[in-house]
Amino acid sequence: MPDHIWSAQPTDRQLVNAIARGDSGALETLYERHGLPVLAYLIGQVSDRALAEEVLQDVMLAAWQGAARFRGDSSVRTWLLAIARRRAITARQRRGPLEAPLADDIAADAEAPGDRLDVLADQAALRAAIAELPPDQRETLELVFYHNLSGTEAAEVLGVPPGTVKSRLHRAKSLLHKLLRLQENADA
Amino acid sequence: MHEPWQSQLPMYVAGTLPPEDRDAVEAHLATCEACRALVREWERIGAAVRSESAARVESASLPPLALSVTRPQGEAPLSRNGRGGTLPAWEVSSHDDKETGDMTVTTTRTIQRTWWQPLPRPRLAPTLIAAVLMAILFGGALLLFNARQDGTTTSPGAPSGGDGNPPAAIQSTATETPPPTATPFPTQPVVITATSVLPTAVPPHDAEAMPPAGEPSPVVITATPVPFEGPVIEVLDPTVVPPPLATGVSLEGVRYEAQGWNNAGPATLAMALSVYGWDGDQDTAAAWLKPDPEDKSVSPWQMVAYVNGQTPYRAIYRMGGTLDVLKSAVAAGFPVIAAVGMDTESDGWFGHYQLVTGYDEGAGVLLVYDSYLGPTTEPRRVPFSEFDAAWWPFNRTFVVVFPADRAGDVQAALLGYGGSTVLDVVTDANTGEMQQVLLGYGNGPAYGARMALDAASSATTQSPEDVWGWFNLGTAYTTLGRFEDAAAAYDRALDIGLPFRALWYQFGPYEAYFKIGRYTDVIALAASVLDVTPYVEEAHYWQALAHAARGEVEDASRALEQVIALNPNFFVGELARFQAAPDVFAPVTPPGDAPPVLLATPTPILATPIRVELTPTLPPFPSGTPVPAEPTLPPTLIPSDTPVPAEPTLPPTLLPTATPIPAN
Repeated sequence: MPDHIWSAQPTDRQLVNAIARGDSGALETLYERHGLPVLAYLIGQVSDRALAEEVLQDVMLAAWQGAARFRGDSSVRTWLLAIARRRAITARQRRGPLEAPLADDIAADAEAPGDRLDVLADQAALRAAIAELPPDQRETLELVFYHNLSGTEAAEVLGVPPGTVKSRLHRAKSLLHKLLRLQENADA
Repeated sequence: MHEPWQSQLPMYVAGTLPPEDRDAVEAHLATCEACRALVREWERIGAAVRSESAARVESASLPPLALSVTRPQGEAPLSRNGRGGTLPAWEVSSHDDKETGDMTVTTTRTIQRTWWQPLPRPRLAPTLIAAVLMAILFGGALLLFNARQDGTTTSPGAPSGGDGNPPAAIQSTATETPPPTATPFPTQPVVITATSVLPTAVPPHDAEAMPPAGEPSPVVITATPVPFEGPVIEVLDPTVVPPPLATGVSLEGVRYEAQGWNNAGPATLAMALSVYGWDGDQDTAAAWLKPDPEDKSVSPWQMVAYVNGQTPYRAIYRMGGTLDVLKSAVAAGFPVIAAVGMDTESDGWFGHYQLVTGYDEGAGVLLVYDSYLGPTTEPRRVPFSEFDAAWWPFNRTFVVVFPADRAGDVQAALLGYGGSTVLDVVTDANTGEMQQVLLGYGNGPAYGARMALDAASSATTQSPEDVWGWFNLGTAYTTLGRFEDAAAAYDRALDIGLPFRALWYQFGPYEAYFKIGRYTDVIALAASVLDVTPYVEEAHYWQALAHAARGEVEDASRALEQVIALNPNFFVGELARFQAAPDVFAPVTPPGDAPPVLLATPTPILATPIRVELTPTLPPFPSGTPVPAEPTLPPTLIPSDTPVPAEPTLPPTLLPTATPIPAN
């Protein structure tokens, strides 16, 4: 099947429709567009760059095979991340756990009055604290702030109700406060 | 006080709020310093998250795409329903769509052994087959069982006992009949061995000979394929509304059958097929569907497996139906079997089937044949709302049986009558144009599952005490592979309280609890059913799987023996159920170069013809030839080769999923 000649920059949806018709060039284009962010996500999921690259190939194969079923009611990035998530879980199960998973049950203390992250000077400390969050919370933050998924889209990728996305975000923030043990000057 | 605004702020910072919500948040921020401070916090968090994620990939470039994705010229695009030749060698079968993904159990709950008021009943003392169950449930291979036809009989007996069994049927010939005879159990030892062979289509009447006494031999089951779903129908004008149906329809030629005891499923199926001139009757169907006459129910997918594998006709089943789709099907000449619940003073609540053969808009009734309630010479006239109330406990599940050469008509009849017009965009292989396609029940099971989800979601939102709404929600989630959500919904239904026979007919809770590792609950739920009656093979089946998942091989083995003893054809039905799972059959992009063909409406009853275009290159479904089975393995029979996680013990501080946002 001949590749498409696009008159304008194709949208993600148009690329997926082209892939469904067997256009391998469209698959390449989609890969160039989304490959790095999806790879970043996968590295977060499997903690191993080489394995993440393997899984990424699986994800693209699944996208190739499943393009005809893409309904278009979520973004293409959401669709790819949902595929990636499932493949990553399988890959992790095959490999076995690297470390004890953090339970998502650390009760976040109520924030003390005056705790503020807005004046935090040390971005590195914040990044380190994020890395210490339970995987579910860290993943939710990543989907929302790095992949810019809406609450509904993040819920779809994670396989949870939208309310869970919101509550995880807020628990994450509370836990970051706790991890940083930040005492800031009270704001006026 | 601040909670609604607080919950929006992360998305506001991420820039993913819809414009009106974003504007509202901005207006609020102008007046609220506390929220502005929170925004600054989220901005810092967002920046840190972005830089952390980006850092993972900034040091290297994207590796090259390593797939060989070229396809030989002239081959059809990928089709997942196994139709029309072999799939490319690198086709990977997967159950990603049905994997649970996150296996974390977020709530802990123990199913009480009796979740209703138990009634006294007799105990079963079965003759156990000497079976050896080895590694099947651990080995990741396909179970193959013999579809043995034991030649059992069902006699239209009369018992209606105080043990809560469904009551006797109408006896149109009043004679003294003996109680039903028990199925003779096979006396030879049966060895069930694992084989890694995919199901192959073999002629359905090829029964294996009984092995000689004392010599175990592998037993083989043949998968009954779900039929070819019919050609893809594209509606050229995406704004077309399904045309109005005729104001009244009544299908002729129904041969009424008063059901034998416990025989509503086979009798209703026989009535449906009688419209097309089938020469069998309820006993013919029951011999395969419920070889043990005590078997409490026949499931829709078992009916489908029977029709597709054992008759020259075809069948599909869907959930999430609507009255309109029923009317559309009968208007096109197809009677529809509906699963309904009956609540009677004398016998309590029990599951039942009815055959819809017409409707009368003026009177607001469906025309329905009922093998238990009668009448025998003409259909009942059931008001729409009354019918729907009975249909609701079964998730509005329906079965359409039809002659094999009318698959396209069935699809047209089912398309679009879902109460909403759902469009999708596919690309025409001939022209490269993108077209809008009307989705509906006819394209595959996913639409019905989503309709069921919508209906149950809104029902439970409006009426939080609607027990069947919660149960249906669980079934819809289970069908869509969202097992955690399903389990939560089923938990709620059980809390509210289900009739004790509820799990004689619907089995979603087993699957949902199993898939999230609540094996104790699966076993307890099954045990609660089996305390009342042993004649529900699904309860034994799920107990077997749960025991196997816990490594309790002997218990699993015993339970599987019960399944086979009760119904050797059970697994054929299960395979049909998995083949009908959503997304197994995907809408197929029409291949080839043939010009589209204009199809006139198949029946003059419709007020306005439907103008559709077909691509006729897809072969008509030949009568009597089984379609090669979908080459994927049913996820429940075939455990993934990953170890099944041990049932989690949860720390006491685990927060439930729906933690309210802490007030600031």
